[in-house]
Amino acid sequence: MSGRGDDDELVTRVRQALERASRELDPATAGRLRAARRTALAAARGRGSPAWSSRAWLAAGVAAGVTAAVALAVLLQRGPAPDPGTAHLAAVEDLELITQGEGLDLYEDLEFYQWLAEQDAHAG
Amino acid sequence: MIAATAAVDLRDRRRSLQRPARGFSAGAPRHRVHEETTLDNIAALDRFLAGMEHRALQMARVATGNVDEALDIVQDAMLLLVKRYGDRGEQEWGPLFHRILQNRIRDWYRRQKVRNRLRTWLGGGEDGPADDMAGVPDPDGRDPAGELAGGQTLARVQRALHGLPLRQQQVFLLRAWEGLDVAETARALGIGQGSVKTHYSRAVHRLRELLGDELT
Repeated sequence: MSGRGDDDELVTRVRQALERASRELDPATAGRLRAARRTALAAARGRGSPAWSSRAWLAAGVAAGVTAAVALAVLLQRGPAPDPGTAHLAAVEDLELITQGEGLDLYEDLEFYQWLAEQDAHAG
Repeated sequence: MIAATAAVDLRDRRRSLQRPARGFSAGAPRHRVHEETTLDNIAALDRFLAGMEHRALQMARVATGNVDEALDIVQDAMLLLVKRYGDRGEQEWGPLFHRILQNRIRDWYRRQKVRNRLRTWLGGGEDGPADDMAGVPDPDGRDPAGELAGGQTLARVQRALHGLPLRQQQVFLLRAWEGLDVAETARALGIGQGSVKTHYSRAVHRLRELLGDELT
């Protein structure tokens, strides 16, 4: 039987282990992270606001809807034989993750990736 | 002593993650014209991202089990924050970055699930990026005494977290490591506060099963 104090101690120990992992990141990976940050900051200099046509919005909406439908259909297909107990819980959590609404964020992301693609095309 | 140090650390972190005045997205114009980010802002963004990037990588790595996938997710989150929200106030970046990062992790998870189901459907086995944690000792297994010292403890913690369902992972890391409260965690993940409490409780329970005897 564990108490609240034991849980707090466990959480503290886990946190310390993660802090250590962050501090002691190997130099190669840390270098890749710095490069990723530089790339992101370089992109911050002078971004326009891409204008999307209504046709593009419609295409994006249809594509998103079809993708979501296919994803849901595939996930609802029977997979390998599930383990009783925790498998049911995991399946419910998976379904929650898959079906959680994206709202307009998805379209904002599409807009952003479209812009990135345009930048790459201009750079190339 | 450990708990007191950790509490101070959490308070410091929480101060840097103050809730934005407008929330994560409510009320923000969807198609606002982005002003060119100023040099001062870029320097501030650099400092902010430098302070977040190692922990962000750990969170993504726990979720994906693969450092390359985790780096892609973190870079993607950085780009999105800078491009879409770089001109907002600094106090908004923390919550926004958490939300973006967790969404990216969730998107990665969804893609993997769909991909694996498709492979299974089409007759192939499940596949995916190499799991860096595959060689880490299984927290369910019994190791010789003393093996948990140093890096072994870290490895087992990472492995145990990696084995949690994604939502439990996300909630636990945001609450226990990043120091977000229930409401902030709910907002970062786009779920209800009740769900946050449930996932956190389940995560702690499972971690105790996997690690409790060794870590406490």
